[in-house]
Amino acid sequence: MIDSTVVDLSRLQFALTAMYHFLFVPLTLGLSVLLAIMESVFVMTGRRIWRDMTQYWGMLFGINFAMGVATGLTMEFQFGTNWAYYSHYVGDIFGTPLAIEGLMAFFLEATFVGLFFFGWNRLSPIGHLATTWLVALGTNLSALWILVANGWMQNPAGAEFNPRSMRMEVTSFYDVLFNPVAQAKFVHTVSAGYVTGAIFVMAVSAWFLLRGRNAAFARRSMTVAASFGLASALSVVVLGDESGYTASENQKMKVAAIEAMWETEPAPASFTIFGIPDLEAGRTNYAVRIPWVLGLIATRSLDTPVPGIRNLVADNAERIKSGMIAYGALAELKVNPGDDAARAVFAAHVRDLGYGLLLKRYTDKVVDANAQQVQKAAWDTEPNVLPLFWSFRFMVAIGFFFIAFFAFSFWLSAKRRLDRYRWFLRLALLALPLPWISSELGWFVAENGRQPWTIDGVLPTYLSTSSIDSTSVAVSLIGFVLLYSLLAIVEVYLMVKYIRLGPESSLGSATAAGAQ
Amino acid sequence: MDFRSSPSRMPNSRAQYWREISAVLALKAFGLALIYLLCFGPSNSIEPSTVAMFRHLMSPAAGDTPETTHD
Repeated sequence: MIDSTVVDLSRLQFALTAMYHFLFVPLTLGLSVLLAIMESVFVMTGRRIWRDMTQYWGMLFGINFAMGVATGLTMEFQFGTNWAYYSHYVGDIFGTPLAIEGLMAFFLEATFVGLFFFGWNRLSPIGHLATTWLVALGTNLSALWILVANGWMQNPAGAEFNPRSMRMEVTSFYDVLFNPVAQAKFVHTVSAGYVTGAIFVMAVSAWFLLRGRNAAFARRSMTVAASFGLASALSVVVLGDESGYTASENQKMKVAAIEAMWETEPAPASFTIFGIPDLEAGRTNYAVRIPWVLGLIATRSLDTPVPGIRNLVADNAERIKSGMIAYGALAELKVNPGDDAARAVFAAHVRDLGYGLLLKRYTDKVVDANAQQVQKAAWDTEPNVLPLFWSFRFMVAIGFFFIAFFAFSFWLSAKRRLDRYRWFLRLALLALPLPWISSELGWFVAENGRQPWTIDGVLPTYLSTSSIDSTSVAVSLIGFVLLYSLLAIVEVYLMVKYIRLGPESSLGSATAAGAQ
Repeated sequence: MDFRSSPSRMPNSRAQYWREISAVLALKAFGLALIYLLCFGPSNSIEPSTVAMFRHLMSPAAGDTPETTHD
């Protein structure tokens, strides 16, 4: 049987390296666009302070970029080292956007980030501005291709299983690229990155103002961040709603688990804003519900029900039985590829082959699985309700806080009162960790909610790992934890050091004194 | 450290910035190389064959099949 230790350790390793990588990604996404906006103002107005702002925030962007670079590569390496069967099964599709990301987006970003830092005195103002926008474009394109790959894991469109090669193969690259789940995730994720950049600029600028330093510099930085942050925070929530709609189309179980909804509610379903899920009893105690909201978010209608966990488990049990038939037909096809009857049966049930594979946890003779094993496998399709329920609610609460925070910031900016209220500056400083917390929670909801699948409905997670020994995974996991912890300490040290030094460390003292 | 009163030190700060960035990148490259050299060797080939995939998913010996790079 499959070594569950390898599966658990490989999942933990991927989760930790992905969460570490995503400490850097959102700030890179957000700051790159903010730098381009600031430099655009410099080119349009010719005022030196906007160039100084671009250079100072660019210096902090450089630290973040250096710390984040290559941490994504270790995740790609894991597909080979820890997830070899996954790579074989879906590599033809999954590998394509990853390769395009490296060749197109990252090379673009990495090339122009060098010109951004060293081209100030070598390029014309317009030429350098184009460079900065190309850095921003590269980082965003990078996110696009990664999320095309991830979106395909959530909704495997544009591909089919080939029994001869025993792998999934592309049938329509258009469908892979324009997968609605991937597109919704892309805009939601980059908007969250923009919020992160805006909060970072707000918090550091607020710290300068609280210390009575670099007032003109900090006020202008906050003005840009307030308007950019408001637009981004609104986008995150609106596009998150779109992400919820696309999930309800193909990941009904994830939506039901996020809602801790065990029974199908009459349409339109209500949204549980607060409650205490009771896993044993299969109900949510002390629930505070908002009528209609879930139905509108998940179905965009008033008369379509949102299925509950128990109903979905019952549906999945039927799909497992159908998958057993596909599995049996596939076994016959491998023995006799010319068996037309087996081919017809396989074609009729191939959609549920992945569900049949869920039985491999309980029996090697999938076609002979008994009713009890089918029920166990069907209940395996229920993700971890409790952490999903709470993670989602904390993420949404932080998202609405950002809207209120940036709306107030924007109003203060319009009234030229950004530096008037010390409580507001302290709030801006305290808000610094929130975008990272909400981003990590968002990824947890997206990825843990996909379990027990690596490719939703196609390949179970525990069939995806390599036949590697658990010691290799454990030792490499310890290595990653130690190295990344050290790098995280260095990152925080460098960031704090260069923030404390302020713009005057690398720019003219005139800027520090408030020259415009 | 406050450079406002000592602008002559600014170039040093810029050079130090790039020295520290380079050191971080070197530390990361060394650390990652060490992890991969210590934990993964030639026995962990990149991709299983079609036959290995079939045995992994279908045969009673599922999961016992080491990856090979040939079909």
